[in-house]
Amino acid sequence: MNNRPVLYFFLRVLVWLPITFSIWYYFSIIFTWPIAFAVDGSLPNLFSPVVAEIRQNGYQLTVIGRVYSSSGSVGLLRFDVNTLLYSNCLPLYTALVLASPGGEGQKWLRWLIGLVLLWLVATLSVSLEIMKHFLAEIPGAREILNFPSWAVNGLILSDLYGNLLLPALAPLVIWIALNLDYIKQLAPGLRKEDSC
Amino acid sequence: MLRFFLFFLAIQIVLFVVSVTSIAQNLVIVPFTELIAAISAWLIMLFDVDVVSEGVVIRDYGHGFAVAIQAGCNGVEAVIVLVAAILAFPSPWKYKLGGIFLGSIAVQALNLIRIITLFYLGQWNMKVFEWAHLYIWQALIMLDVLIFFLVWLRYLPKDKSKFAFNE
Repeated sequence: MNNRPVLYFFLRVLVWLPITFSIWYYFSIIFTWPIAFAVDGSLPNLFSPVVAEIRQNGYQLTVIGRVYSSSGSVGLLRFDVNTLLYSNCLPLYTALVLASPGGEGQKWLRWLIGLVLLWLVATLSVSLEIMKHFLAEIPGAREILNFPSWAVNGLILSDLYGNLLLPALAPLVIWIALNLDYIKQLAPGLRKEDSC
Repeated sequence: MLRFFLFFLAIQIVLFVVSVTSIAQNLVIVPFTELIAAISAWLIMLFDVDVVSEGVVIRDYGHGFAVAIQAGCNGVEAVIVLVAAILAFPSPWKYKLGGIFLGSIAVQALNLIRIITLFYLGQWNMKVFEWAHLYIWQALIMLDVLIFFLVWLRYLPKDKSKFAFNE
């Protein structure tokens, strides 16, 4: 038995990280597909006056939107969103799962649960980024969608959170929630029986 | 456990919202980011005299290369996560304050290494810089937060009545 379990866990994660990052990047088109599917299935339906279509282009999403001139004519605009910025939590989560103890089936289950949750997080963050682009940067979009200014401010704040914190935070929260027994092993003071 | 997670999420959202207000940005975040840039430049100058910091920018006058430390690169978000986790976890205040102090140092120390390595990676290869900047270092900083939190949990006194994970 080692007497430095946190250190050994940390070293195991460090060993797995280059492998998980390489696999994630190599298969990034596959990992991006559910995000593209969810975003294209929701935003053009919810905000059809401005969001025309969202296409997957490798690991990028190409967003096609409508812009309206003051004379009423409609033009199209196009911009790309890098989905890797929002799904880069996946390699860290995978490394954490692989470095934790447990049977193969248990690890697969934890990984799949985390995968689904991290895809939801990435989809939310990407959606916020796209809508911030329309509502805060494209003149007229806010009026067409009838968004009050407080809602736009809330969306900008949520987008900041979705950019800076949420994707980085999500793998830690999910890993802690699914590995409480292991955390009690790492921190013996948390175990009930030790204090009896 | 649910109580811990709810407190944790609430505290880190409040801290994040406060940190992006213009008052906090002007009084705390920007001066702190400038301090991080100055410390990074001072460390680099120990072996590279052409480097200076100007506000949040670190510049190499020899090569003309410069990096600006922006939101997300100053380690503030990682510190917010760690502070929220420590505050949300039921424990004596002495341990909370010690954990926040030492944890902030641990996060910012790794962040200085991140800034310095990115500064040199950017001069060597921009693609590698982008990769390290956007993907690798973010994961390493958050891993640092998790590991420090686990170590902090390990050093808490043994008292089952105080701990959230036994609920």
